Amino acid sequence: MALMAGQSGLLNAPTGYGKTYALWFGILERMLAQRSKASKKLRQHTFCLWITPLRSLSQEMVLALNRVNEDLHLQLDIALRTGDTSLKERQRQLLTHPDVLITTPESIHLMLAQKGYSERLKHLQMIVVDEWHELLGSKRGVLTELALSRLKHLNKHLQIWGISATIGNLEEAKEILLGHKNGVIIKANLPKKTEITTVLPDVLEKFPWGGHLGIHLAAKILPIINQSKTTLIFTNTRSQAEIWYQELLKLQPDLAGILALHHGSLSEEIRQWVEAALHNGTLKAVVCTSSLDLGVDFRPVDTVIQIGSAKGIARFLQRAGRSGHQPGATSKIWFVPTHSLEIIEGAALRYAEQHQLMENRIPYIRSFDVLIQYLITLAVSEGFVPDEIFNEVKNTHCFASITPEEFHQCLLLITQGGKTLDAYDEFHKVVIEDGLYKVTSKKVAMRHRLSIGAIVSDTMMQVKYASGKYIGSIEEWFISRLNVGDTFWFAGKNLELLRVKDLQAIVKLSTKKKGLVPSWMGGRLPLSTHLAFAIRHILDQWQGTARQEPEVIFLTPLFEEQERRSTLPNSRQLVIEQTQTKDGYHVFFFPFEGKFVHEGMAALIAYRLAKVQTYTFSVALNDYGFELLSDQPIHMHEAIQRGLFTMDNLSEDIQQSINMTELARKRFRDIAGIAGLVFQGFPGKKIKTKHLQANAGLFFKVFEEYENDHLLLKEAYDEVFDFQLDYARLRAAFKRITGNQIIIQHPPHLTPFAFPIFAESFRERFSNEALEDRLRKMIAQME
Amino acid sequence: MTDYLAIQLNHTPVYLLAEKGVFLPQSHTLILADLHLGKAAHFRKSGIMIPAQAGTYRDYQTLHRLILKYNPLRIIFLGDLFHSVENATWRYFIAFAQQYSQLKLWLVRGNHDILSPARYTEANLLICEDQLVEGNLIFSHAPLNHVPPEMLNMAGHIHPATTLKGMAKQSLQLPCFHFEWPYLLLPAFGSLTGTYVLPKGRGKQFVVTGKTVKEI
Repeated sequence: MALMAGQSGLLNAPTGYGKTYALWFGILERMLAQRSKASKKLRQHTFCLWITPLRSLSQEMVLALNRVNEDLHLQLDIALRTGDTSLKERQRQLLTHPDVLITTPESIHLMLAQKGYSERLKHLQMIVVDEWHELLGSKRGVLTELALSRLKHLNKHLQIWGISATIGNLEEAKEILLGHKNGVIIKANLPKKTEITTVLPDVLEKFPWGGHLGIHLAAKILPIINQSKTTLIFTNTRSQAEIWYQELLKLQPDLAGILALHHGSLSEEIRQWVEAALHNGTLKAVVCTSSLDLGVDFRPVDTVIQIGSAKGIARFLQRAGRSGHQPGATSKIWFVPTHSLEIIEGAALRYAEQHQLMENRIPYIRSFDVLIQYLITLAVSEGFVPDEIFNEVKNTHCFASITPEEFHQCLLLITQGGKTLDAYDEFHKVVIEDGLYKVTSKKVAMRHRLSIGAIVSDTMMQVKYASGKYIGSIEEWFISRLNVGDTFWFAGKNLELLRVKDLQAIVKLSTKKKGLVPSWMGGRLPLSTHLAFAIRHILDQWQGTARQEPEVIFLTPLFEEQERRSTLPNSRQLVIEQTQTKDGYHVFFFPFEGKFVHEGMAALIAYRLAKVQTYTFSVALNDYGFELLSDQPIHMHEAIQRGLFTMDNLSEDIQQSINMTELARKRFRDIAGIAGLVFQGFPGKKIKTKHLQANAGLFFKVFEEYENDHLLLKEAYDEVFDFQLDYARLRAAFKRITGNQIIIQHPPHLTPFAFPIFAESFRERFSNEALEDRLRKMIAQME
Repeated sequence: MTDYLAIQLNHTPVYLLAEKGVFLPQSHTLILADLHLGKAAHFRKSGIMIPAQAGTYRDYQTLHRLILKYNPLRIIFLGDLFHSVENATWRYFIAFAQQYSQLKLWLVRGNHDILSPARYTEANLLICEDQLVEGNLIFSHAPLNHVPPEMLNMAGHIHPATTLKGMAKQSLQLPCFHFEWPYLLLPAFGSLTGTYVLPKGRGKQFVVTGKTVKEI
């Protein structure tokens, strides 16, 4: 109804309520109504852009919409435009203007990088942004905001509709999508029942560690799979998915052929096959990653299994929602913890679900890397006039606070490569002709088109059979560690490396039973605020209201062991444990606030400790706590009395402490990629970039040294502040802790809560000792 | 800690310099590898937004300082002197060569050294295609596949670095000299260069911080 009235809005409904179709029928109606009275000219133009976050999703969407198309004999041209679309099809689309284009944020920017885009897109009437909650919390959301700002300028009456699952900040999500325009939120207000069961191990391990991926519980999930029609098994990483797939096949060989694997590194062909088989109900189970989080419903799926912490309530419930699609049906989800402490999350999730605790999606603001990319995109196609674009950009949520000065700095960057010029400078990128900013060099334009997007990944290698058949892609650094003849598991198969050529790894099937499993970078999600809160609640209530929860009953011996050796942390007490081992002096803290907040707290505490005495710390952390490890004793009582946990100067101290860590450098990796400093190219597409390779770390170093007020550098620090450290959350957590009772324990041995942190292999470094001093000490220790 | 380390290699006194070069006191020769001059300018010419002054200024400063400190009669560049095809910053090198016109400048050509012969001539550079033999030393850009017996090969190209591990699971990555008979690999001199972590193996490694050099 709202749609017919020409309004914009946001449609909110849980997965599995046919929200896609609801909106689609509205659009059809609107389109047919408009077209019946429209001129022939208007009818020749694309009416609707349908934006989805995943390529696989856009594929499904084309199929689904075309089904309606055929059923109703509408004869609409509904086409797909993603990174996978062939050149031929793209050229056809340029000429014939499909009625509906299903696409991704990146592909819209690619359209904006083509000459004639303003003519082609100004007749667009409708934009649908599907799964907006998914885009919102990433820089792809910024890409979407910028593209919309341009399209809204081309057609003032453009209607925009978002589709979003339930998140904490739905209202904000709507405002960001629609700009200042008033729109409506339409809620499908149907409560959905979810049944959460934790798969418990036979024996409770009192000294758990995070290393074994929960694989020892594989046998326990077989009966669940066998009793269900079709099961989706969600893992958090692609390597975990590969390992679980192997393990399940090993335990029950007759699953061969009816158990499949689905993750983002597999080829389109394999993924599409799996998705089609899921629709047809010919698969018993699929091991997958977030690659199947979203999308059109798979009707046959009646059971979902989550391996390891889902890290957030919304994500967990979204996955649960992949089963039981019929309105009113109960979603069944099984939670498989990967180590003992994680078991508690089962109870916490149930508590959170009952109390409807839903996370916010935090939008990015002031992402100058994306803005710079966008400006060059416009310069590549038709050129732009700065004043016009400034006004459009300023109306987006992301750049609402941009100053003319900052915008000018962006212009300086793309026209002269920075503020200061060398005497013999030859910088060449964007040139100004009669006030119009444009790219004239073909090379610059081509390199830019290949780098459009906001997802930065390592260099990928294509994995192929000798016949040329493409299996998927793996990060280059993994392949580079292999020798010819080595075997590895990928796409559920054991593959032997035959040779490496350019960016291709040629393999053949191997009959060996052993092989390495590739690991992919990324995927280090922190526990969400709300889930962390729910976990603390369960810890508070382990002898109270939560004592009947099966997870709590099972964990009681571990809790008692912790109490025996030290104190069980909860939301009113901060427990600090000091223990000495052969590695040095350990201090453990258990705030239960999630990795990112712990990262910030650890840096801050290390900084405050080191104000009094020079220290070098190695820092380890998980979602429950963190550890500072030093080669010198740490005097906690004195430090606390001096104000280790004070709220005074919190922000300044954090600024200081993160200067000394490497957080900003890590953030800069993505920023450098998006802003076009580091050219990434595409897997397999060989582009001549002779002598133009340098890593982001080098750029970071150079900016720190020569232009430390650089916009992109400031952005890196801001992102560390807002996202990595999540300053708002860190501050709230700190405030909570200052009201806590602080308990310092000196257990002679590691406790059940300390052990998993101790066993974390990934460590950060904090040091305020001079490089030369550290070197001297290390050499002395070696002698 | 001192800013150089005097050692004997193949019966020849060799100073390993904290500034990532080698000085041979007997022949008053300074040896530097992988300067990659003009790299920032090359990037900028292709539209990559790196600050114009990055690397260049500091690298020339270090060069001047080394010349004042060790007063060499000649410099041997072990390849990759200039990062890529010609750009305007080559003029800085010409100015440098003119300022020290009494110095003999040798370049053992590396894979990045693709300027035309005329450019090298105008900078007074003597070019050596793949190796320069002097007494029991052979200078080359990439380490040679076959080094004659009793000879030591000084080379660049690799940009060696090493990772130090200390107590409390600390680690530190620094550029280094890598000596493993019959090779002495020099760290890359240019400050706009990356590094390659080389296992120590059976060799010896000497890390440099810019201020000090130390065997590990």
